[in-house]
Amino acid sequence: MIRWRLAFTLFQKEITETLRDRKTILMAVGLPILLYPLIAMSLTKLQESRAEAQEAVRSKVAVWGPLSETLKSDLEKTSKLDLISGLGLDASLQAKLLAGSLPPLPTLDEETPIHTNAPTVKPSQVASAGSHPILLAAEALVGERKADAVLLLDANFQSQVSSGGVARAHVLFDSVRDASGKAHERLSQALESLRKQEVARREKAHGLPAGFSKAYQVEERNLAPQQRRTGKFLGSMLPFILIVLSASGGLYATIDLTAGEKERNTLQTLLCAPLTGLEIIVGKFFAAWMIVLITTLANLLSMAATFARIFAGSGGFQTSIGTYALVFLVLLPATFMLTAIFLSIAVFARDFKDGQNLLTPMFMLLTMPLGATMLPDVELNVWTSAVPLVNIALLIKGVFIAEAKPELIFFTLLTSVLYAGLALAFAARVFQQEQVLLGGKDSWKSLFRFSAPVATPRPTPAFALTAFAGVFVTVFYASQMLQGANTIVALLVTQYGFFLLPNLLMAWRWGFSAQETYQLRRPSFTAICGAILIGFSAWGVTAGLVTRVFPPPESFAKGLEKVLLFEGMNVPLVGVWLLLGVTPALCEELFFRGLIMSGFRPMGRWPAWLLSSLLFAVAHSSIYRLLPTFTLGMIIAFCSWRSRSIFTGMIIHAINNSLLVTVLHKPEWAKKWGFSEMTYVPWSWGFGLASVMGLGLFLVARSSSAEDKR
Amino acid sequence: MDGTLIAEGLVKRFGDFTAVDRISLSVAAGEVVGILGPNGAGKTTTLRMLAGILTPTEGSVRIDGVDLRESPLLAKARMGFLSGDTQLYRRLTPRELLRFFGKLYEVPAIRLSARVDRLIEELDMASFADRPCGALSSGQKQRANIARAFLHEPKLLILDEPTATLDVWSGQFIVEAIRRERAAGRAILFSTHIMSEVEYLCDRIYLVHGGRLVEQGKLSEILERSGCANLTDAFLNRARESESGQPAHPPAGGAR
Repeated sequence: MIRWRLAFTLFQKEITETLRDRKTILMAVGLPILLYPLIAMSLTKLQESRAEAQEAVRSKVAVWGPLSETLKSDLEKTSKLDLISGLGLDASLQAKLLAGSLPPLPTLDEETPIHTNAPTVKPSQVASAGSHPILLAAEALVGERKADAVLLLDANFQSQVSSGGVARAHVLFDSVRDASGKAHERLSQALESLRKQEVARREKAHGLPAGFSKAYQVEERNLAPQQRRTGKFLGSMLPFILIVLSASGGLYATIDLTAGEKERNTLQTLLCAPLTGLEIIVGKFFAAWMIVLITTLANLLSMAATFARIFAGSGGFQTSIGTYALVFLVLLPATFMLTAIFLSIAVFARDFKDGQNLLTPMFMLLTMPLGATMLPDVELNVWTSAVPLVNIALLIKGVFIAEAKPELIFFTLLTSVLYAGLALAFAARVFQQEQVLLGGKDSWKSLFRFSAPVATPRPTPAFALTAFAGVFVTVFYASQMLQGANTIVALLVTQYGFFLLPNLLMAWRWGFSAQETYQLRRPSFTAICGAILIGFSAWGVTAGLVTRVFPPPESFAKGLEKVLLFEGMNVPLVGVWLLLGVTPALCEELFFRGLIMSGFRPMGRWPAWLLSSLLFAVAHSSIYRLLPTFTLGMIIAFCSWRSRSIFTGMIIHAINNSLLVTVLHKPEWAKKWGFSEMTYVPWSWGFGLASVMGLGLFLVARSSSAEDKR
Repeated sequence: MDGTLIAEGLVKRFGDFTAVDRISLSVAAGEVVGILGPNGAGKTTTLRMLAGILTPTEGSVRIDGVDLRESPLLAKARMGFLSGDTQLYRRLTPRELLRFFGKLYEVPAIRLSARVDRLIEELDMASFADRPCGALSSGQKQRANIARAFLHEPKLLILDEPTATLDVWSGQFIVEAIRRERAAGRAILFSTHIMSEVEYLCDRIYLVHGGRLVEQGKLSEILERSGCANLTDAFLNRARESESGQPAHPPAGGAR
């Protein structure tokens, strides 16, 4: 019989001990609290902006057959369609089509037979798609992305419309491509609308009852074979699952091979053996990678067997062994890189539990961006092929839908092998740090240690990360609650209530020196001059050159503009400067270049600049603002650090923001200055402003040297 | 200085903390040298530097004429290291373990099997040589560990408290094994807290306190200089002197 009193006593001891381990608390409570807003914010915003971007783009449709000017203008007027007659169709085929000498398109399969009475036939499988010249031409055109869809009109289309007969049209599209799906949707809606108008006209003209006439018969043909369609479905989720499950096999192995050895006191037998650090890490690495590969192989085999069984009866999904073999090959560099990263992080851990606490958040951080690959229309291109792991996920997606271009495969594999090599080099370097191997403390450790920020006169890296996480989560939820509120109130509450107030309260609560933490020093005259120059010119680099490289969609720019214009409220310019220039300069600088950068200070200047700027960029909650705000953050971090004064950063931030909002609030000034005609900042302006900024940076850097000499 | 092991001016700093401060020592072939000191004196750090696990902040180490910093692999190949807290791979058997380390030390394959068999016989390991190390007793594990350190017949053995976790019987077994290795002409540097082992085994002794060498010599010389009757008192005396900076008086009537 269980003696519950004793069991309860034991429970009390266990829970007390566990709760005193701050890393456990962080993993159990802190991480989920931070993770979901991050996922929601990044993925939702990405999806929304992509959907908006897709909605804003017009669909390019090739029209094959007799297209009258009336039909063209009617269709283009009804929906966002650009119709191009004869696009991608060679002359002989066109002549045959207009002459009506082409064989009829093969019939659709029996699953969704043509209902001749129905005005529209739903999309279905293409029967003998490969044999008909029109379908082959359409496949090539849409596949090469020269058009989003093809509208095929029968040779007698116009005469049927004029004579009151049934005019037949075919919409040829590729459901695997989102742009093509969108074109199909628009085309179908536009044709349906025209059909209704034509039917109503005919019925009225002939005094017929409603429903008597058909007018158009539209047949929708999906050019994507069943294999690609199933591939799209699988390809949207399988890369994420495959990479996450494969990598998870390496988690335990890497911890066991590093922290486990330390915990079991077996590592020093290797360290005193005639082996180099590189030989040890390479041996361990390949062992861990082998485990990961076995996991990967087991996943792929199980998946292949399961799908073969599920789809056996349907006869549709026929992913070959070759496809799985290709996916396995593609996963090699991804798993190589993940294993090397895991190994280099796990070696910092002193025991197994420590290893789990370090690797779990790292694992989540690395795999979280993969979620974006599940979104429709996120595909492998020149930009995404350079993003670690995401490129592999997108390549697997491409393999499943048989759309991976050779040059992108090459580039993806090349960058992945490069990242994997860098990760292994980093792991080897870490393995040569004797203090890391023997479980000693060093600067890296402080980054991952989440110890209590008590009794420290200055914030630590762990404190900075925790403070950021707290403020970030608060701002995320508060901004949801403030959505209906007045823009100015929301801005003031966010800046003063969620950035400034908690910041000051934390400094007060933990007794940080305000002067040291916030660098409350008067900058030198040279530094002020430099800051003013940078304030007036930094936009040329951040908003000018960077947005050229990563242009945000128009809808995003308009949304931001609406907020910055206070939703049309009439605010005097001085008020705009105070609200959008001075307020963020005060609140955000004290937080990011004050508390946060002070926290990272013990790690050295570059980590402090990079990490504080990265968090500054993340806090702006938009993938499109990430790079410009990061760049601005780096500039300000450099200036605050070198001038040893937060006020230098505040000057830059305030002038930069004020200048940008002035252009928005005073369009007549913008026109006078020549901004209103600009889509992008011209290169000449960009380089000119960058030169001015360079001079400003030089002055700020020089002010530091003068200070040092004194 | 000459000998199989020569260490000169060893310093190890961890940030602002100096764990070892200018320690020089030597061990000749066929000699057992003891290194004594209280916990935190810097013994383990010194031995780890000598074994090439830690890099000295200052100073040099030569093993059988090979500079450890310049040719670490060559120097390490001439040395066997064993500490009391060193554990074995739990899922390997002692025989597999010895084969693994034999390959790491590049013992020729043709000799390895015979060498492993001989060690298993000499160290009385036959009954557990093919059981996983995780299932062995502390004494059995330490025998396997000794075998690992002796396997490649190194010129120098560095033993850091090898008997610390063992019972009297197992401890004695290890001590006898060390005596045999001395007789075979190996240089042995040996750290322990057990004074009787030092008195029984060591030809010379180094006393370490606060990261510094505070006394060295033969047992008889140390006792004579301290005026104490036994090594424990001599050791405590030197430690007190080192802390206070004043010569300490030997306890009256101390028994050896």
